[in-house]
Amino acid sequence: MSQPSDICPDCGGAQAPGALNCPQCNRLVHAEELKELAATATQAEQAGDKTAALAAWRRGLDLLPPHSAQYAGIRERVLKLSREVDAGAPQRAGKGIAPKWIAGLGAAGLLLWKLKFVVVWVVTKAKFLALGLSKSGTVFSMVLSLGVYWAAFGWKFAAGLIVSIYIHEMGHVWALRKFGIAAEAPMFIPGLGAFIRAKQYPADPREDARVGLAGPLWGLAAAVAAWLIALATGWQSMAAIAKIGAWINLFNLLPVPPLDGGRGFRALTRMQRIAITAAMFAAWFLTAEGLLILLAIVGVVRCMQTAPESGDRRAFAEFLFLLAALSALAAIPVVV
Amino acid sequence: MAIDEPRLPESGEPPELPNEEPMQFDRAEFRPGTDGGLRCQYTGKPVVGRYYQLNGQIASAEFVESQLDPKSMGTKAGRFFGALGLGLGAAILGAVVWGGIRALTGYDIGIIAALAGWVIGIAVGAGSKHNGGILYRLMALLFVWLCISWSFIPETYHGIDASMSGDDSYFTEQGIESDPEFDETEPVVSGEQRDTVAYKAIILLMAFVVSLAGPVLMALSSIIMAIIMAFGFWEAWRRSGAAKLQLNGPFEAGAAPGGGLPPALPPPS
Repeated sequence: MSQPSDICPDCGGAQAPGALNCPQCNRLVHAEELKELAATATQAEQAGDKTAALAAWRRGLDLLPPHSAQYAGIRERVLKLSREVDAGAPQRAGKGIAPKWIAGLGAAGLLLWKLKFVVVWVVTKAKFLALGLSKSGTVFSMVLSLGVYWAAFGWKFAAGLIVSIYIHEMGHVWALRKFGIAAEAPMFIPGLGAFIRAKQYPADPREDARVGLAGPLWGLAAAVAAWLIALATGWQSMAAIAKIGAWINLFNLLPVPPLDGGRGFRALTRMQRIAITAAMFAAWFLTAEGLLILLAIVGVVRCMQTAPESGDRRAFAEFLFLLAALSALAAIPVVV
Repeated sequence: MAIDEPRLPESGEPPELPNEEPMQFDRAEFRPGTDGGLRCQYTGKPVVGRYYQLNGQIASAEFVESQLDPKSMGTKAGRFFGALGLGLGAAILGAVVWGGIRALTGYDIGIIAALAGWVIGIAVGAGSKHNGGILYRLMALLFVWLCISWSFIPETYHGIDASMSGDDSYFTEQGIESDPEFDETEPVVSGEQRDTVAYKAIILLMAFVVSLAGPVLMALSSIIMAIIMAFGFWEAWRRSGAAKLQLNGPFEAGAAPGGGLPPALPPPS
């Protein structure tokens, strides 16, 4: 692996430390690493592991001058792979095809097969959620935040709040990993929530919207789960956690960068933005939730700004769904 | 709950890859007629001749020299009044936004305190030409304090006015329990006096003074608000300090504009 040097080993010209290419002879400083990454990415593509290929190509982008032809070529590949991952193209050959004996069991067999996927999905997601706890920075900041919320609201509510925020952040981590974007583990900031520092940027607004809206989608799932537990057990603390969890995720839909709503809005046309802003006003009218009028006013401002000509339908649908579900959940009456 | 990430390259799109041939990674290829990819990351202009590395970014000699020119720092008084003006503007803006959101939504969204601290720190830093020093740091802290305090001026004004005129309906609306002792006291001002400009000006002045206790009261009311405000103060302190300049170079860009590819390329890998 070549290291940045002040003197180009090929032409002997001086170059700035950290430069990606020699300004005299254009030698790529990280040539060897780039070749290794290209080989890794090609192998991963051939094996059908698009996420691994994306991760390798993105690392390559970090090592190339942004105005070079190689950068442009790799960026094209990243965009193509990202769209394929987004479209849900099978990652490995053979995955998802039921064995012949299952077909022989008829509808019951098919149901059993589907159930297997549900179980696998739940297990993998639970395993993934535990993964974030392996980072000392995440755990330490989480405990610190827990202490602050505990002092303010009591341990039950504090624990629920921390879990809600953690699940929201892991939604982002899941999406970032899916697209092969390198990122650091979530860090909690007592009183302010949590954040993730991505080391690379999304390839286009569509990818940015997927990553941004993944947090509120997972956060919504956590809030719904808390609400269902509250319904089943009558435990009002869980209802309060569901309500505050929904409120926090709704706040994150504020269409201002770098909040999640700002990322979602990036992929929307002006008409889609107008429709979502109208939905925000409607949700405010129906629920009288003060936060929604703030979302709507910021939405109006974003409608006046430059927007892409072709929007992303999925981001639009996800945004509308989140807005409706979170507004409804934030409006549930809670007696604590 | 946000995602912090690096920014996209600012100066233009990369060129199209010429064909579908396998890429080589020995030498960077640039569109013929371009400058070999070297651009000043502060001005976005192509680098010709000498360049530096300023805080890890490529900077043209022109830009670095303009930054290091003592004339660019202005006078001491100019920096002081620049910081004062920009900091005051940022504090007023922060107070209006925070107070406005509170009035609109009914929520005290604490993250605005952190955001206000960040903006005020940047404003004071820019006004002082990033000269740094304890004076500007304290100025930034003072403006954060004022920003938080001033966001409470409307409520404080109405509260004082209601107290002076014996109108306890305001407190009922705010969900504040009425004090029997207060109920029995006579109004200090009559209805006519209440409408005068002098009365309003005095109440406004009183609101201005009383609201200065706002940050203390907020911190005492909630540990979370205390922490968020501390973030705001910390950001203001951090951003209003002296700019740290790490300068490497000068280096020679060497390749003439339009240099494009070097004459002998190794075979593609």
